[in-house]
Order: sequence, then C-alpha cells, then structure tokens
Amino acid sequence: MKKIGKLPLKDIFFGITSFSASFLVLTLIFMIILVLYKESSLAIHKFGIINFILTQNWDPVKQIFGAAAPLFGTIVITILSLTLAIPVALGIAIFLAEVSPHFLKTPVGIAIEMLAAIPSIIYGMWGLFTLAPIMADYIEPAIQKTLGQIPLIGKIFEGNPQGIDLFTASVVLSIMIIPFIASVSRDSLNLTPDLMKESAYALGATKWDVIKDVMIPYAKLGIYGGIVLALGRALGETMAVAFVLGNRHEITTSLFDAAATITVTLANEFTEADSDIYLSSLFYLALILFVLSFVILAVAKFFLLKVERGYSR
Amino acid sequence: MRYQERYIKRRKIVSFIALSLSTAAALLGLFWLGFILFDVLRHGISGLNLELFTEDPAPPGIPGGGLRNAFVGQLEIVFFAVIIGVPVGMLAGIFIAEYARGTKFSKTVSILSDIMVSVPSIVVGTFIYAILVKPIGHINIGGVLAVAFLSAILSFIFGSILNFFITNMFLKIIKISSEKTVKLLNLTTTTITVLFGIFLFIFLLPKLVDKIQGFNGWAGAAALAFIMIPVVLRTTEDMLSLVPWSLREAAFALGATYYNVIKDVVIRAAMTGIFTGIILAISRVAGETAPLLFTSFNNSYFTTNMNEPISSLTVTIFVYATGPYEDWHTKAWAASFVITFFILFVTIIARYIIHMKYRG
Amino acid sequence: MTEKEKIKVKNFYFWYAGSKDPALKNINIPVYEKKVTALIGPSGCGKTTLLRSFNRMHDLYPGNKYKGEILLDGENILKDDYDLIKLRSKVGMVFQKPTPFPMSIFDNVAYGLKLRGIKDRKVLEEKVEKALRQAALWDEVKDRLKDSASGLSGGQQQRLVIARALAVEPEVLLFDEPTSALDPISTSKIEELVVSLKETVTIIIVTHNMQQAARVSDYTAFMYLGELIEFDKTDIIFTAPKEKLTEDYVSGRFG
Repeated sequence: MKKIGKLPLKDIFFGITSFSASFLVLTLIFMIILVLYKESSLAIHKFGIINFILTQNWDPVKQIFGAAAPLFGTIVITILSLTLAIPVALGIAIFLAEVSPHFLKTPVGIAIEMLAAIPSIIYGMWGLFTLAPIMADYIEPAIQKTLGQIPLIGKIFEGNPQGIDLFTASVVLSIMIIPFIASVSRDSLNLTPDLMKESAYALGATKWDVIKDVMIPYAKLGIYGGIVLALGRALGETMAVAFVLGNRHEITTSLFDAAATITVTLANEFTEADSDIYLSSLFYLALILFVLSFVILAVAKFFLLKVERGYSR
Repeated sequence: MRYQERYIKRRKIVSFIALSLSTAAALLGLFWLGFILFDVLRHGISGLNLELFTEDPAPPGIPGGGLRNAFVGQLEIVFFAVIIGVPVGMLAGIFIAEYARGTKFSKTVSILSDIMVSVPSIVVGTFIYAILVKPIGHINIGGVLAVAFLSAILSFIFGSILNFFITNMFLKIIKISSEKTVKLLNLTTTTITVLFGIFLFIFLLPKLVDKIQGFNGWAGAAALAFIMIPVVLRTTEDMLSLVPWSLREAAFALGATYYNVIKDVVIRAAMTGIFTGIILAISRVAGETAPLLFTSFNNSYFTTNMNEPISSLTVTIFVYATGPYEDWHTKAWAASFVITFFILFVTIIARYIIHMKYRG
Repeated sequence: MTEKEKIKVKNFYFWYAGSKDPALKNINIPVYEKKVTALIGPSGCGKTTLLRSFNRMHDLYPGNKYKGEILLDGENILKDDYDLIKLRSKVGMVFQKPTPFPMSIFDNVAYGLKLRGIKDRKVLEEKVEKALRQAALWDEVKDRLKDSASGLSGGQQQRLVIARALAVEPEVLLFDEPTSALDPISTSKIEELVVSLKETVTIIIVTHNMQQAARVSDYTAFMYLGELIEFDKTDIIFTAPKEKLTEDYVSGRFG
C-alpha cells in the first residue's frame, strides 16, 4: 500500500488540513497586530506615539485623547499587586515543595490552583461588594493612621478612603495572580534532585538552609518565569479590577484614589465611543496593551524554556 | 571540628521562623479561597430559585424574573466556541506534534500559542470587534474570512463522518478492498468534501454576512474560540508527545499509514489527557467576560439567534452588579454562584482524572 | 582485634514507611576507627539502607521506623532527642552521583563551613584549600575557584563533593557507591583517595563492585536480604569466608 516517497492520499488530506489549522494559529497573532494597527492608525496619525503616551488628557467632548493616565494606573497596579503577591506566592510554593506533610501536598496544591480557576468576574464582584467596604472602613483608615503619618510616604495614602481605588484593585489582583507564581515556582522547586537535597542535609543543613541555598538557586529561572508570567497576566486583567477602580483619567499621587487602567478604560468606554477618533484611540490603547503584554510574556517564555532545556539534558 | 552551639541554635530558629512564615503564606492562600467561596455561597444561595433558570428578566427596577436568556445565551456561545475552537486546536496540535515534530515551525507555533494563552482577553475582544462587529451591513473581509473558516470546519467534520461511513459500512458491504478501490474511494471522499466546503461557503456568505448587524453571537463565540485554540493546541501537543515513540513504530511496522497511526493509536492513547484538557479549556472560557463585552454584547430579551446580540451570564453579572437595583445584585450573586461552582466542579473532576491517569 | 570501635550497631531493625517487613533485620556490626569498612551484597540486600542509617538520612522521609541501637562513641544516635544537625556534622556522606550545588567551586567546599558559622574569609580560604588538597583536586581547580561547579567533569565533581564533606572535618565519612557513575580512571582516583583518607577519618563504603571492596577496605560486611551474613577482615572474607553464601557471592556465583 505504501510506496517510499509517495504519501497515501489520506495522509496528504489530513496533513494539509492539520497544517492549515496550525498555520491559522500562527497567522492569528499577526492578524491581531495588523488589525489593531489598522484600526488605531487614525489616532496614531493624529496624536503620535510619544505625545499619546505622555498626554494625560482624555476628553471625548473636545476629542483629545492621551494614554498617560491609564498607562500609569496599569503600571502602578501591576507593580503593587506583584509586590503583594510575590512573597505570599513564594511562601506557598516553598510550603508545597518542602514544608508540607505529604498528605497535605495534593489538597493544598489543588486549593491554590482553584484560586486560579475562579473566573475573574467573581473576583470583581467580591472586590466590589465585600472587600471594598472592609478596605474603606477598617484597613485604609488604619494604614492612614500608621504609615500615613510618616512624612513623604504618607503622601501615597492621602485622601478620603472609599475602597474604590488603586489599593483595593491591587489587593484583588494580587490574590488572583498568587496561584500563577506559586504553581510555576513549586514545579521548579520540585525539579531539584532529591540527591542534591540529601547531600545538603548530610552536611548538617537545616530545612531552610536547603531551601535557601540549594532549592531556590536551582529553581531561580523558573521562579523568574512564573513572576514574569504573572506580570503579563496582571497587565491584561480586566474584570477583577474593573469593579473596584472607578474609571478616572487622572494621574494621582495617592493609592486611595480612583484611577483607570487600559483594560478598565476599554471595558467601560468601548461600546460608548461615539466618534471615529474616540474608537480609534481605544484601539490604540488595546494595541499598546497587546504589544506590552506580548513582550513580557515572551520574556517569561524565554525563562521557562531555559529551565526546560537545563533539565532535559 | 569545634561546635558552635549558639550558631547552630540560631540557624534552627531562623529555619523555624522561615518555615512558619511559609506555612502562614499557605494558610493565607487558603483563607482567600475560603473567604471568596464562602461569600459567593452566602450571597448566591439566597438568590437561587427555579425562576432564575426558567424566566426572562423583568423590566429594570421591577423585582422578579430570572436569567433564562443569559443561561441559554451562555450555553449557545460556549457551544459554538467549542465547535470552532476544539477542532482547530486539536488539528493544529496534532500537526505540530506529529507531522512537524521537532521542526522550527512546530516550535514557533508552540511558543506563540503559549504566549497567546495569556494575551489579555479584552484585546481579543477588540480584535474580534474590529473584524466581525464593526463593519455593519456590508461585506467585510473579517466576515468573509469567518464564513470561509466556518465552512472549512463544517466540511471537515462532514468529510470525517463521510469517511467513517464509507470505510466502516460501504467497504464491509461490498467486500471489495483492493488497493485501487480504496484509492478511488479516498479520492471521491476528498472531492466530495472539498465541493461541500465550497458550496457551503457560497451558500453561507450572503446569509451570514448580510444578516449580521452590529454586535452578534458569532463574534462572541469567535472570541472565546480564539482563547480556546491555543489552550487545546498545547494540551494536544503535550499529551501526544507523552505517547511513547515505540507505540507508533509498532503500528508503522504493521504497515499503517501515518494518518492511521495517528487516528487509531496515538490519539486513542492520548485521549483521556486531551479530553481533560478540552474540559479545562471550556471551563476557562465559560468564565470569561472581557472578550464578550463588545462582541456578543448583552440582550435583555430571550434569543437564540446568533446573528443578534446575545446575553451571557458573565456580561449579565457585570451589568447587574454595577447597576443600581438591589434585586439585580441578588441575581448577579446567584449567577456568580452557579458559574463559580460549575467551574470549580469541572476543574476538580478534570484534575482528578489527570491525577488518576498520570500518577496512579 | 585491638582497634577502637568508633560505631557499634546493636540489634538494629529498620522498616520503610508503610512496610510491615523490616528492610534490615537484627544487624550487629562494629565499625573500627580510622579503618575502611565495606558493605557488600546483591542489590536490595539493605547495604545502602544501613549506610543511610548512620547519619539518619531516613528521617527526611516520614514514616520510616528504627529499632535497636547505633552507638557513635558510645552514644545512641537513634535517640529521639539526638541532634541530627550535630550528627550530620560528625558523619559526612558522599552519594552515588556527584551533587555539586548550584554555586561556585569555592562556595561548594565552603558551604558546610558557613553552616557552622565560620565567616572569616581567611579561615575559609585556608580550610577550603586544605580540603581540596586532601581530595586531590586542588591543582586542577586552584585557578578557577570562582567558576561554577557544574563545569567540572564527573570525576572532578565527585572529588569536589568529597572535599566538601571533608572541609567540615567529619569523624566518619559514608560513601554510597561513589564510583558507580564514573569512568575507570576517575574511579581509581577516588579509590586512592579513600585509602589515603583513612589516616584521618573512619570510612564506611557501600559498593557493588567486589574488586573495589577488596582494594580499598580493611573490613568487609556481607549482607543478604536485609541480614548481615558475615563480617570480618577483608582478606578473610575474600579468601576464607566462613559462610557458604559469602563464598558463593565473592566468587561471583550469584548476585
């Protein structure tokens, strides 16, 4: 039935179909860039690149649009949520990899991964109805009374705490990205060969010595990869922050002020854009967000690929 | 060696503190999970009743009614997303794991899919808006592409079914299986399938592209499919590469073609894993909101017409939760409850299957 | 026999987690100070299990159980309150495969010292050099102490790991098939090293290679199915064993 160098018909047919499917996946990513660029070209020509990024003004009436405020909000929330999430996530990863008793590893691991399975809109709901009031009534006033009293640092905790602000949004987002960092880090920590750990224990190391001096250096690249992956996720998250951020196009100095991110602006204004330049500016924002997260995710992938290569040898 | 007792003691204390902190972090993680789930349960259960599933919404501000439109719409959108996303993702995954195994092309597709998995879903929404929603009324390239795509998928499914019937029924009935007949039959099936695809394209083009007015269900399904494809692709690829190469060689040695090796041996061996991956992909897109906001949009009336804006649970939650009425909030919580526990249930089942299959 | 007993194993039993049958049954064996004791026997006979009991490596995995006594300088190391960190500072270990930590050559050797609170750079340098010389590695690495240890060859890595164990000046050193992953030249280097080390430390070595046991050890214990069959001077075990089983094994009739 088979002749060398001559494929059976079924193979040709199936090969071509499956090739087209994978080729489609390849083209999708370029299509996004092309389409977003085409749609935003009006705004790109009118506002330029540097000017658009640095302009804080977002005025649908006068038709002047600038990305500075949502960019600022996106960056602040991303950094703050990572700062809050990283220590907790690493703690969880270490717990799951080396500290936890054996019978708890699987259930706790699954529970942490469930945090990632909860839809982001649920985080948003919960943030709006449950966390925001708690923040406004207890946590934010408490922070103002303590940290807020320190000169200079106090500046970032100024204002009347409403609960709908940068800080609450960052807390919600940080809970959401904990599982990403934790599960990638745990997997990397688990790659440390048992023999390696044993030889550290055999030298008289404590558990923490082994974690700190052997396992973490071993898992370093994977942990970086997990963090950058979470960074990419945090940048593009919409619903978890849309509820608790307000949508205020201003750069603020206080974390207790409402603000905007690129995603929140898109979610709130896209269907209301009533002029071509307004819509085009929104597409422009989407393009910026896409390029940003693409680059960051590529970096994360680079780290994780290096990990795979390192251990497949 | 002289013991430095105090130093050893200090290291033990440091170790104890560090390990306690790590345990505390794990407890904090569990605390958040418990807090959120408990809250959804507490608020959701009070809004849960039969009307929620059987009745359409009452006019704004008036209590009562349900979310039948959203449940049905959600199911419909996800169903079509699966119809589009799963075949494409699986086929692409098979191609890069089998025919193109180890090539630069397959590595590129694999890495790009990994990146696509995490691309902001709201950007996907804007992209689909641009190609499937924005040009209202007249024929647009996005619409043509979409129809071409849909025809290709449908004709492929048609072709597979046809092929199945011919190889399993026809050949057994006439009992002729000389090389020539098989080749001829293959050629016929392929031709029929291609013709069917072309016919479908010509037939659907005016029907769909003209009828679609602004926001529509197809766009929502396409956006979700876009998110599903890379997930399904990567799972398929991973699961296929877990199948030992020797199994393929054994099949080749029996004189099977690569297509038959893939269809009868490889896929079958990897099926549980792929199936679980698909279930996880479905549960992932079932909770997506952002890509639906400006594709399928929202509709306060009941409809199953995918050419119109169609309501989904997640978008309804967003609209209701940010709306002014107490009754809306209750309904939003109830919908959240349904969707959260559905997704968690599915996720746990899928994880359990994986656990049984690959660790047990 | 006039040698001093460094370790004495008395009526020792060991169970792995979840197993009802003991992996080691009623082991009684002396280990003499500054001698090399070899543990030999077919795979699964419990020689590695016994070796790993000397520094209580089994404690890393919950559920394992001991019974009996292992006396180190007269003190039972199996007592619940025995300080494992102190035990492991006295009893060092080298594994089947080289295990260089992901750090520089210098830091690898200095690691055990740092764990003991030695921070003085001068002292560290001195001790690291001494350990590397003892492990016959100094000349090969002295110009690249700052390089990553993973760049060394397999044999060099194994000697580095031995240097790391030696740096903390242990009283006993356990070798678990230290040459099983090495080529013949590296193997003979490690064997020479083991012989030269017995001037300063007591050595217990597990090996599946009988020639190796004959070459390096002073005493040999032959184990079979979790039991100690015979223990004696190495030349006696290899030339005039008392037990039939031992004779069969050392003459290569099974195993």
